Amino acid sequence: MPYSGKLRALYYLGIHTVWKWFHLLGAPKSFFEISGKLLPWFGVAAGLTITVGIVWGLAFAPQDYQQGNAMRIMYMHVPSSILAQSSYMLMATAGAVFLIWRIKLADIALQCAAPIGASITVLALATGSVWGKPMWGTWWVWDARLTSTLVLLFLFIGVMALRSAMENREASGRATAVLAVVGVINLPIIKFSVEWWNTLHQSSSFSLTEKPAMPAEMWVPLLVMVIGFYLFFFTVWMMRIRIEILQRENRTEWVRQLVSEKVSDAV
Amino acid sequence: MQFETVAEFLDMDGYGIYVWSVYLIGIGVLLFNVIRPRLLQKRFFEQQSRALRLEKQSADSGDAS
Amino acid sequence: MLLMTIRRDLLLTFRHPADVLNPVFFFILVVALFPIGISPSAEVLQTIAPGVLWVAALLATLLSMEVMFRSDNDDGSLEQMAVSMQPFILLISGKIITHWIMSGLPLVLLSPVLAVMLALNESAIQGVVISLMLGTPTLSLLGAIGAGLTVGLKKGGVLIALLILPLYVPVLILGTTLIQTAALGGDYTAHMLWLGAILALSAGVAPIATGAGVRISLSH
Repeated sequence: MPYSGKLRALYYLGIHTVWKWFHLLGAPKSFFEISGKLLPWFGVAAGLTITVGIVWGLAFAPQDYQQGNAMRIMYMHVPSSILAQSSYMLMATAGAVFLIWRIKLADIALQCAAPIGASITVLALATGSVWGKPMWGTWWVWDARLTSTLVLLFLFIGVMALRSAMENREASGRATAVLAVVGVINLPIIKFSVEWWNTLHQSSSFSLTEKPAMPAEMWVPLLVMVIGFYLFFFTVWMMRIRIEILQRENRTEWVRQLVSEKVSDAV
Repeated sequence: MQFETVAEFLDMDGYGIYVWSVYLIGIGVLLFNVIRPRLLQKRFFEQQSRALRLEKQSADSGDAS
Repeated sequence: MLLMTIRRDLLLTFRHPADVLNPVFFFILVVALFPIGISPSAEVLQTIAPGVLWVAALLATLLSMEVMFRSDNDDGSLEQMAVSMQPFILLISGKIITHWIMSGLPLVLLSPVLAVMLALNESAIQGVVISLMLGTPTLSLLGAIGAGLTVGLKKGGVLIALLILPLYVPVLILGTTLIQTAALGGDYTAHMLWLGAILALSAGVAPIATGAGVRISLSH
């Protein structure tokens, strides 16, 4: 055995703690309580970062020597494109968790991520299109990244359509989870094939792992914007999950108590 | 600050219409995502409190009879 | 077991030849509409032919997808299969293979004729047959996932298209570029390998996902 006894004990303790938290968070009621405490912080952080990012990108970031001020569109387009893909990944991860461990919360998370992800994908498409007008001279170019984002939007629409077509909640939850997981297996293949089909677009100008080619005055506000978008996604995701929890558990004692407290507050 | 005057800031070397519309769309989508769950939440509490009141009423009248 | 399912399903579909023939006629019809709608000139047809053939193949496959589980679901035999001692994945695989024999294979066999009508040259026709041969099984496999997830639903048809068409994009791209490369006399081994790889991957994933989908739909 490569591990010493102490290390192994620590390892099992770690697994145990993670597992405990997993189940604690998986219970809708405790998630509701914990997220209620986290939500204001996330909201404030998201609002601040996005405001700082927008002001920085619009007014303080330097012009691009080729694209001039038009490249300020990047501070909206790139974060939304990155988040669009990540939100599909997160949604599919929730789907996988639901299929494997049957955690109800994962089903709720999947359902709540779909409309947010779809709207962010629409934003990525719209901003890409508006950016294309001054740069390429047309509103739409069938270039690799716009095309694969369009396919991503279709994948989101498929998940939402399947969800709304099935009346039984349990069945529709599992069915959409299967579809989301199948979609996420396909996503890299789609991306690869579309890129191969058309490599007209400028190569990806930003990545977290490689040293970016643009100067720091440009990529720092971009990074701020990306972080802000992620924070925003988690904030609104939590908001939707909380409502969905309330709706599903509306017969339980704790939700009824919550409602009556809310009513007496209002009076 | 990259711009000298407000007019210059709005014009963005002629790219103003594109840049500003992108930011408007962006803020619009973000706001939609915030407002939508808020509305849902409001509707939920309205519905539930109404149901709760009805339940109480029927319970009260049940006692009286 | 696998062979028995295939034989049973083949026999069943042969009793309703319309189910098999309609998508094939649909394929021919759609392909024929393009020269009429766009232009009969050979030059134009040669450019659009790969895409036309492939898109028509996608739509024809989707059209036949809906019936994959329907009759078995209607008479309750699908439920019997799901609870029987036989491995469900084998049954599902058998159904998918049958579907390909009844809907994919006819398209492959017919495609050279249509390729000639679309003014493709000899090497391009070869490309058409090879790409469809490698691609249509993937279409059946991925389509089965959609069919499985929508078994119990009344309006399954359009929904299957919404769920599955985005997943068909890689096959469409590889298939059409293979034909285009072949038309120019180029080497399309890479396209073939990629199509084969996608086929292998879908053959591994699709029966499992379809089985899960059918079970979910049946349980309610």
